Amino acid sequence: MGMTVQAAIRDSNLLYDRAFDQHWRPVFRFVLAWTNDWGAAEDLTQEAFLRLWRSRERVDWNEPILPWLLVTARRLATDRFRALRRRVLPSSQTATFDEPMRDQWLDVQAALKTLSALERTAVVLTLFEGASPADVAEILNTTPGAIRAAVSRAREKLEQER
Amino acid sequence: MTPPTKPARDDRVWTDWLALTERARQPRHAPRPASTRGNLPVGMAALAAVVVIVAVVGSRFASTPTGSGGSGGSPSSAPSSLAAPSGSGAQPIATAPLPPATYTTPGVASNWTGFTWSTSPSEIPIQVGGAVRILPWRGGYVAYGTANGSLGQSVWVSADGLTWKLVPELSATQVLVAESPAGLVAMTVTQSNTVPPTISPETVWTSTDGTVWHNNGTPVGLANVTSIAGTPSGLVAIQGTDVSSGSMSVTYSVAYSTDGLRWSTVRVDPSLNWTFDRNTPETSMVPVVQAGNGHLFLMFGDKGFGLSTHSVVWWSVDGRAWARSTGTISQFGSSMDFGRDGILLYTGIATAGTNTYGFVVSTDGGMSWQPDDSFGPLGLNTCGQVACVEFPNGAVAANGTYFVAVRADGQAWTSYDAKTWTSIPWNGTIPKPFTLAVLPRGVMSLDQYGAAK
Repeated sequence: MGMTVQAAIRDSNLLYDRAFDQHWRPVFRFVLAWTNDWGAAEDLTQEAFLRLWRSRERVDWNEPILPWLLVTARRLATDRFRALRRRVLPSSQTATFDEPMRDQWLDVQAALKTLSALERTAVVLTLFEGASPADVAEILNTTPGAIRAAVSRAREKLEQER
Repeated sequence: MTPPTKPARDDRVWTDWLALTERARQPRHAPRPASTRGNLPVGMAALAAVVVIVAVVGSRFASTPTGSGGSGGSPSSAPSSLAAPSGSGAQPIATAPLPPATYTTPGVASNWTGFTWSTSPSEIPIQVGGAVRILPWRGGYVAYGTANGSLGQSVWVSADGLTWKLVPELSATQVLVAESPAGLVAMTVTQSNTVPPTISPETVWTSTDGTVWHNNGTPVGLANVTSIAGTPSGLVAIQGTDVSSGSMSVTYSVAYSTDGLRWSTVRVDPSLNWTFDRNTPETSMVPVVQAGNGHLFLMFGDKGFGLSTHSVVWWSVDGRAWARSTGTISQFGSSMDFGRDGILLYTGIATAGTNTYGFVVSTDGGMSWQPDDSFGPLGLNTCGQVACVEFPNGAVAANGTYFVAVRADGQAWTSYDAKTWTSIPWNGTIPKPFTLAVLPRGVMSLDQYGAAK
């Protein structure tokens, strides 16, 4: 029994490490789009993977794990868990940037502030990550039509900004 | 999902965004809780994990409710092509090792003249930055929140602020604690490991002494709680309700109770829009209740709520009758710290690039407020970068009696009211803004504990 449990733990640890290697960036992008805050995105991505670590013994690793991570990250970013983190904290986003990169991020961030979280996330998941509106709608708890409309609105808004 | 591709329209903003995220620094190692990380040999690590699992199965708190929850905003099913594991029923999440059952925070409780520092607070399950809140109660204390090395949250009680004891049955994904007319009330929720994850309904725990706790099941008239607070006269909570199924909007309300079990809605100001838009989390903040100095406070505001002044604070003694505070609060009030003779309200909008933070002070129990543009003795951050011009040049925190402020140059002060500050030697690690914790007998600054002397 001991060997079986040890083997299972070892396997799930390896699968967890593989999931981290494969999905860290998509999860980070998703949270960054949702929050438009670099520091928060790093923290929430870390937290989402920590929750996967806790659940690694029970997750069905035969199925894609990315949806689990995205839904968990969204939950962490929304009100219930956000409320626990809502004490005002200065963003740590500039700490990981060099000077030119920071300036570029501030420009991009300012431009994307004109979009809602839904609009940003819909663009990132559909255009960059290749997910269908139906898939994105499930993750964001809305309808495919709302996702399509959000992508359209996002592009119009950015076009008007030019 | 397919690999990232260029957006259909070659928009400079998105191109830059994508390039920046390509340069984002992925941590070299997958994150693990500190308590399970390290350099153990594989066999030892596996053995440790087995011990953890056995311990969890055998403990009371692991058998938390596994109901479907119905928490606001939870997806009802998994995406099709982003296929989720099927047939995985709701189960309690695997639980990280319990924080230490007891720990001590030495020092004196009054007449602080300096600090004696130690660099090994690992046994102290307090994280700086507000992750653990300390509730003064009947001469003792209750600490609750996220412990170092733990993913869930826990509760510790202390009669003297020196020795702290874990309440194991209250460990959960989220735990909130408040004073009540009968003693203390705690609410726990647990997130499942299913796809999509669900959050259990709140479980109400009550205690008359802080040591023995009773499970009272699900509260009546209350769900999706984001904060609770109480006084010996009554309890209040903020709860959120989805406007409709699948909606991105949630409506918040204030609920009142005397026992924590049965709740009724209190209409504080129906003229305001209490609906929060999840589409704009960066500009709309959740209302929050907090208790201190014998009063309850409700912080509410920002443009998402249709307020021109951005922020409102109400105060109440019993949670039923509320009065609007006077004074100028130009940004959203996010949290308060309490001293013996004053209250410090932290305000700001946490939108990077336009961060503006402020201190607002009350010395009359929260009935009126005055902005403190100089951030007490700290002054403005002088780093000169866009993102920090409005930050205080240091850190401040409080324990219900003392405020402690530490400036970036290492100068420190204490205060009872957040208006009159007295210099105190620091000689410890200099905290960053809002990364200082003041305990009953000392301070936490990053990885150091300073016992008050």
